[in-house]
Formats: sequence, C-alpha cells, structure tokens
Amino acid sequence: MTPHVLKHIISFKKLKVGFKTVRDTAKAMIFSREKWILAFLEYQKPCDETFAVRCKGIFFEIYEVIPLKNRQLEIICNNEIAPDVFCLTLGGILFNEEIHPGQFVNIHVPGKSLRRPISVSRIYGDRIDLIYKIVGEGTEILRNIKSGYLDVLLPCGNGFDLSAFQNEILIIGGGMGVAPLFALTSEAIKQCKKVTVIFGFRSPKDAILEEALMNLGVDYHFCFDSEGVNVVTMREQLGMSHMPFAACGPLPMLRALCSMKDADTVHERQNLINDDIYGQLSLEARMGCGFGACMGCSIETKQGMKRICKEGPVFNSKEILWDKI
Amino acid sequence: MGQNIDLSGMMIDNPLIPASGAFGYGMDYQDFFDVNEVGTFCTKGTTLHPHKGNPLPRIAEYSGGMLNCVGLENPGVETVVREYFPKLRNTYHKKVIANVCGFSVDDYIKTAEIFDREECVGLIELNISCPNVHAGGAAFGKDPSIASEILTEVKKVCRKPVYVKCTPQCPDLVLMCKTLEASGADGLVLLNTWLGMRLDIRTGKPILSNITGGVSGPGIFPLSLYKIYEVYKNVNIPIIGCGGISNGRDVIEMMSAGASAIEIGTELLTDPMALPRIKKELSELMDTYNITELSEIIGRAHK
Ligand SMILES: Cc1cc2nc3c(=O)[nH]c(=O)nc-3n(C[C@H](O)[C@H](O)[C@H](O)COP(=O)(O)OP(=O)(O)OC[C@H]3O[C@@H](n4cnc5c(N)ncnc54)[C@H](O)[C@@H]3O)c2cc1C
Ligand SMILES: Cc1cc2nc3c(=O)[nH]c(=O)nc-3n(C[C@H](O)[C@H](O)[C@H](O)COP(=O)(O)O)c2cc1C
Ligand code: FES
Repeated sequence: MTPHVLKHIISFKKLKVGFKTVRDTAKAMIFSREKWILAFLEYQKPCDETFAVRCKGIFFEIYEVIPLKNRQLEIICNNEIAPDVFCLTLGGILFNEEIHPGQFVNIHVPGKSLRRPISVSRIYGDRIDLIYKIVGEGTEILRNIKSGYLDVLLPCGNGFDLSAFQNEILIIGGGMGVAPLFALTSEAIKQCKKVTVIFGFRSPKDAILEEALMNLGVDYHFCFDSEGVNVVTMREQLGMSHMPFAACGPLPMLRALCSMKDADTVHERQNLINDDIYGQLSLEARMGCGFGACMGCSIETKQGMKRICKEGPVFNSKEILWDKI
Repeated sequence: MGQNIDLSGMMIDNPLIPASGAFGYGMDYQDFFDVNEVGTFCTKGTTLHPHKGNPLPRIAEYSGGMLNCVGLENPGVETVVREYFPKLRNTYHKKVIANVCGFSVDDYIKTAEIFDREECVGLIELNISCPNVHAGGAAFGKDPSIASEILTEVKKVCRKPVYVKCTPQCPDLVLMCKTLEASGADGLVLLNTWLGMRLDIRTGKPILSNITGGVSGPGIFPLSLYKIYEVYKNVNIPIIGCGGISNGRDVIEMMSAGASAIEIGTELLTDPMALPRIKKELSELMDTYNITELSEIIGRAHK
C-alpha cells in the first residue's frame, strides 16, 4: 500500500517551517522554507497540537499545525492602481517555486459565503501580488480591508506550461486577464525565452502593469478598444497570428484568438476554429470550492469533463469544445 | 467519551459524514486533513452511465450559503468502482456511503446492485431528491408510490442497508417517510437541497444555467432541523440529518431533534478544514454539557 502523504505546515514557537508527514510510518519530514530537510520527527497523531519536536538537537514546541493548502496570509498592502483595480500584496509561509504562473488563490472574504478566486500576478520570496477589479459585493468588501490576515487556499489549479513553448512565446491578455500573465512573463524571461506581450484594455486609463513590463525589459504592446485596436488586430499587425501563445481574458477574445482570420464574431463557434494555432488559455467559472470537490466548474472538453479549478484553469486550445462553453 | 453510532449495522466512530456532492469520491481533501477523521462519507451522486451535468454557471451565492445546479455530473458507476475505489483505498480505510441516482427505476436497481457488491460500500443512499435533473431525481422524491417502488426493487438486489435521501420539496414529507419505512427503508437521509434561484443584478436574468438550483448552507439549518424534528415523531428507523450544519452546536441540535448522524455539505466547500474543526467543537461541547455517550442525545428534544 502506498503510504498516505499528509501535507501540513507546522509553525513552531520560534521558526516557521513546513513538513510533510507519511501517515503509515508515522514519521514526518521537516523542511525549512528553502526546502532543506531539518529533521525527521516521529509523532503519534498528525493533528496533535501539543507535541514537541527535536530538531538539530534543539527542542521546539509546536503550537500550530496548518494544512499546506489553507493558510492565513498577512495583508501587506492593498492599494488602488487604476480606477477600481487594486493590487493586494499578501505575505506568509510560501515555499520557493510553490506557485506557478496561471495558478490562483481562493480567498475567504469576510462576510461572504463563497470564496473568491484570484490569480497570482507576481511571486517574490514569501510574498505574492494579486490584482483584482471591483465587480461586485465580494471585491467591494476586499478593497476596504487594509490590514490583518486573510484565509486563503493555495495554490489552486494548474498553471501555464512553459515547457510546451520552444524558444518564443506570445503572451496575450485582455482586461483583468493580464493579471496572471505578468507572472508568466517574468517566468518566461527567467527561462530565457523570447517574449512578446500584447495587452488590451478598454481605454488608456485602465492600463496596468506597464511600468512593471518596462522594468522587465520585455517587448510589449498595449492596445485600447477606445482607439479601435484590439489584441487580435494587434497580433495581426505584428505578423504573429500563427505563433504559439498563452492568453487570458474574456471568452470572446479567447475564441477570436483561436479562430480563423475573419471569424472573430461570437456566433460562429467550433466550425471556424483554426486548428493550426496552438494556445494555452486560462478560463474562468463561478466556483463552489476551488479545489475539485463540488463539480461546480466543470466543462466538457475533447478529453471529457474537466474541472476549471483543478485540471484548469489553463487549457490547451485544441481540447476546448467551443460550442460547449 | 463515546461518539460511536450504529447506522443499521454499519458502525461509525463519529457522527460526522461529508454529504454527497461536497466530497467528490474522497480524494480532494487530502491536502487539508486526514480523511480518515470522518465517520464515513457519501460519494458524489452516481448514475449507471456517465453523466455530464448542466452547463455553467452552476454556482450562485446567497447570504446564507450557496445554490448549485451541477446536475449529477459523474463518471458512471463502472468507472467509480473500477478506477476510483481502488485509488481511494490507498488513503481511506473506512467504509463509504454510495449515493445512487437514476433516471428510471431500472437505473437505480442496476447501479445499487453494482455498489452493493463493493467491499468498501457500507450503506446505499438512494437519492430520489436531486432538484437539478429533468428526469428522475426530485420528481421521484415527491411521489410516495414511485419512491416506494424504487426502494422495494432496490432492496431486492441489495444485502447492505438502504437509506433514502428525501427532498424538502415533497409536499407531505411525513407521509413520504412513513411510506418508505413501510416499504422497507433501513433509514432516511433528510434532506437534500431546497429549490431556489438568484437573478443577476444588472440584467435581471437568472444566474444559474438551469434557472433554478438547490439551496444549501447555514441559511437552511432551522428549516432542516424542523423537518427532522417532525419526521422523527413519526418513524422508527434511523435518520441522518443534513442541511446547513456548520458547527458543533448544529450537530448537537440536529441529533437532539432526532438524527442518529449528520451530513455536512456546503460548509466543507467553503471551509475545507471544517470537518476536523466541527469534530473538535463537538468534543468540547460534549465536555461542557456532560454528554458521555453521544448516541444518548438522539431525539432528546421529544422526551
Ligand atoms: C481562476 C480564476 C482567476 C481569476 N483571477 C482574477 C484576477 O486575477 N483578477 C480579477 O480581478 N478577477 C479574477 N477572477 C474573477 C474574480 O474571481 C471575480 O471577479 C470575483 O469573484 C467577483 O467577486 P465579487 O464578489 O466582487 O462579484 P459578485 O458578482 O458579487 O460575485 C458573486 C459570485 O459570483 C462569482 N463571480 C463573479 N464574477 C466572476 C468571474 N468573472 N469569475 C469567477 N467567478 C465570478 C463570485 O466569485 C461569487 O461567487 C478570476 C476568476 C477565476 C475563476
Ligand atoms: C455542489 C453540491 C452538489 C451536490 N450534489 C449532490 C449529489 O450528487 N447527490 C445528493 O444526494 N446530494 C447532493 N447535494 C446535496 C447535499 O448532499 C446536501 O444534501 C445539501 O447540500 C444540504 O446540506 P448542506 O447545507 O450541508 O450543504 C449537493 C450539494 C451541493 C452544494
Ligand atoms: S469549484 Fe468546486 S470543483 Fe471546481
């Protein structure tokens, strides 16, 4: 029988470290934030809160056992960066390379029954940035929370797969869809890929992340509906209509990106999709749980039913059944 | 201190049971807690053949919880027993409750028969109460004669206890439950979701693709509690209470009203750590109120 791996974080009185437990052998492996193994410990019960552990000859008293996927993250700042758009920086126990671009967190907003899914925009050390737009009651509450802790599930879903792109990648975002793409752009540059970014917004005052892209030194192009240019026409102007891409944004935009040249109307679906274009698309859905338990976010794909929160939110454009979503 | 409960011969070491549809097939909570902490759990509603369910959006919110119109998406009973159960055995060592749904009497019989043969299945829960499918589901759960026909046929092919999960949409729930008891039900699960809807504030149109959905979560707790209280007075078979339970106090109340065990749905989706939390709260409350044997409080509201 394969041992059951329980993933938890124990926070110690003095230092915070993570650990994984192997239930059947009743042993736990303690590793620090850098994933160095500090000690093995034996214990009786995975959720016993009162045992002490000896680590490198020192006894530490454990006072909290936190599940790996559910954490209390501290609000570092939460500021408006464009009209009705906020950047929320959260800090806490985060492991190196734990969160991948395209993954999201699911936030408990005080006073709301369901959690709110928000993509991770920037990952640095033990902090993450989330960029969110005020659209309804939950985000309206969130904008006014300036300090304290938030109850967060993370990381949720599967992110973009950069290894599927060879040397070059085109990154296309529309509206709030640009949020996860900033993390992707940074990562692609780190991996020495040639990156071109196209971001579309309603109007210049809605534009975000320009300075951050400039700092990355990446080739980027902004376009605005108010000026009659959208990301699809911009892609054409740049002569990149056949390049493999990663995208996030409204569904009609994603559909247009995968369609043949003149098929960017919403009505013509599956039959106008251009199968030569390869894209990775990040989709959205109203979610009940965000971790695969409720089937509230499933869509039908060519490979059967898939959950946007678990198998997604990033999908290969070729697996999508456009007439089903 | 005892939390052992006897469900028609299926012994569970605590009364907390994740409800059908909130726990998948038991494999989605492993990053949160040791799933063996549950008393047992109910599988997602499973049909004879794979079922795709309703289009999105399937989820809406209200101040007391949520609405869903998932519509019984599931891979079909064969895939569940062939692929999911063997995987589940790696991490989960207790028995499960198989939630069986169908679109015809024959579907129920065949699906229940397959589950009944599985060693890890301790109990069959006949779901005649799903509000989100157009055939079967809650339509069967409103008519005592159809409900007892399904039950009688399923009982013929099952050796394991068969419980029936009822819908609050049933116009005369007490009559329904009495009929089911007379037709051989080993127990009852009360209740599935309540039918409701939400409209989009901008367009005024329904949010859910199916227009209506099942209402669940803490907002329905007093409604479910009352139904269980009423039914308990009229039947002698065990009742599993379900609907809006979100903390230890709710568990005590539900059992006092007559439930032998309880199921938790929505609270697990919004707080995946809810089960160990509620378990802890329950132990603390038992201490505070000097409850030594939990089974002794079942139905004490009526004494
Ligand atoms: C994987 C994923 C990543 C996302 N990343 C971002 C991001 O980085 N930045 C950002 O601004 N927004 C993002 N969204 C959308 C964001 O979740 C919604 O805008 C937000 O939930 C709205 O909450 P509300 O309470 O303000 O709106 P309300 O309309 O009051 O919410 C009511 C319910 O509908 C849900 N809902 C409403 N709109 C959406 C939507 N577009 N997608 C999913 N659920 C919705 C809410 O979660 C809530 O359950 C993402 C959505 C998903 C699924
Ligand atoms: C997303 C979701 C899916 C559900 N799926 C099923 C199902 O497949 N079969 C079933 O019998 N009940 C299903 N239910 C109903 C629950 O099992 C439970 O009866 C109901 O939600 C009330 O309990 P709660 O308020 O604790 O959630 C579902 C509920 C939710 C929220
Ligand atoms: S939101 Fe629950 S399965 Fe995706």
